[in-house]
Amino acid sequence: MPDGPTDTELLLASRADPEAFVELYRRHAEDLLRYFARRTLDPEAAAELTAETFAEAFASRTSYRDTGANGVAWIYGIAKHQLGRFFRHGRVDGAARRRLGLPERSLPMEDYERIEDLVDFQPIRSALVEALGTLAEDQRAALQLRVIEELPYPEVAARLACGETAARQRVSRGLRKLAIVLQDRGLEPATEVDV
Amino acid sequence: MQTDFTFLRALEQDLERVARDETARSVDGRGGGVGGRGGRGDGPDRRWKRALTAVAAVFVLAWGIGFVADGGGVRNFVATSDSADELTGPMPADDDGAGGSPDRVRVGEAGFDNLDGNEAPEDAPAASPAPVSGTPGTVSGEQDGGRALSGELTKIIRNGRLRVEVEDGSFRDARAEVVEIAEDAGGLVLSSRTQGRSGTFTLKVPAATFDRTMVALGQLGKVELEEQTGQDVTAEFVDLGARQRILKTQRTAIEGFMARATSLPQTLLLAKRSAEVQLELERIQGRLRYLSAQVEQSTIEVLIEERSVPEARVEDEVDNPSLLQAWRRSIQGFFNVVAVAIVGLGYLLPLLVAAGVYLGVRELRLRRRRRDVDVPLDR
Repeated sequence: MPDGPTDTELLLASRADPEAFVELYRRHAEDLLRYFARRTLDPEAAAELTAETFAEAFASRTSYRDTGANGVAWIYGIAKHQLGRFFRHGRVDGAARRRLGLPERSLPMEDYERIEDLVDFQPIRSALVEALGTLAEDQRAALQLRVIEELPYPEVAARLACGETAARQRVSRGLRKLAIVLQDRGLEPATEVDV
Repeated sequence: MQTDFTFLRALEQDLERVARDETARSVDGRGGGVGGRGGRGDGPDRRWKRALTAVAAVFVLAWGIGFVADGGGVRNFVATSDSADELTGPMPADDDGAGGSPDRVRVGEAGFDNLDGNEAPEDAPAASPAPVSGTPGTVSGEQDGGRALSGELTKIIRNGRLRVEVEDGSFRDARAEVVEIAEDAGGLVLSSRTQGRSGTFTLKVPAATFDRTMVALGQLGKVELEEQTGQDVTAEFVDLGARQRILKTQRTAIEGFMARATSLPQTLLLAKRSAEVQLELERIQGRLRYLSAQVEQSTIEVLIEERSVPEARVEDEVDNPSLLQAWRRSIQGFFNVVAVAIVGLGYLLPLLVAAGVYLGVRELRLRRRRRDVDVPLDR
């Protein structure tokens, strides 16, 4: 339990004092990023979904009603909604960020591996191997090297004869598709991880 | 923020900036909320502005649709009730000022190419948007381009004005032809005024031959101006007819009371009342006769001038505008615009209903979602 105001109090206060919302963000941004990373397996998608969820929450905060539950549950409700849309459409909607005027930010290189570290691939490794067959050749090769053989990105790039940035993007895109494939097959990555 | 993620730190800065901006807007009194979905985060002023903008947009759209649906004009919505004084002049078409403006069509030179040749149809439908032909004072729906008026009951006073330019030296011939045209149409030249090589003639012709006469007059030379007016007096006819019946009933009743009157005061009172009813009855009957004559007989004023007649002499015929007329026209114009917009709203109604259903369903889904998110999730 954090010191100071509760999440609910911060959300309610943010109606009149928008900067109170930033405190709520500081408290829960990393947890939400982990939430998305474990479900999408994709660092880029997880980062985008985190940004979009907080943007949507900020824009809609005046509609929040205190029902006695922790205020952050409201934000996770939005997150769940965003995640559902991501799995349905295979991409992250940026409407809320555009509405707020938040800039499009690409994921910094150093964050890729940190976000991947949030995901424990061990429990789903066998399912991953099976699902790899559904991916394009370049993405499958990138995932094979990065996720199965656990090679660092410079080594993955060297094996694929491409730049490190391209290697990261192939892994990211492959993981995104993989998450969707697993979702379609009823294997939610996060469920496996959380068990 | 204590985190290793560069992305999250950048996002924090972005959110701080947005929050600061919104705080500044709130302080400036511009209302809170930045881009909240459906305006939920907006201040009341902004919501009102949006609502007013939406209403204005719907009105403009409705007006546009109504304008198109009405055939690009507002003439079908012109009021037609006029006072007796307005009808006493030789050219009612000139008197826009009172109560209602008659339907009016003014056509310039370009619109009369077909009237210069022999192939022009006698009833000239292209130049006669307020058509009446056949029985005087009636308009058939088919002839009227879709106006759903009752042909049997409709009473319309039709008048016209023409300015025709003839070749130099042919004014006298044209003047003779005007008389001939009036007689051929079953009418007469009511008055005329000539001045050198130009003259103004006022013709009275049966309404049934109005269109034919206008075409024939137009063929005298080059049409510089044509103006036709149609003044619907049906409502006044019906009203006067009803009042006439009531007064006749009253008169009969009064006569009955007078026959049974037993005292002098009663008799005097009833006699006075009888005289009042009779006076009113005769006034109404006179008005009905006048209107009937106007409906049955159209007035056409034609100005004929030779080509070389200076323009200044023609300008004498131009109406001088008055502020009163302008004011009345502006009122009429306002109601015309509203009427056209109402027509457009009728066309838009299905879309507005669909939009309402959509917004309602959307609101229900949003409320359901709000209920859902109040349930804590397993992270």
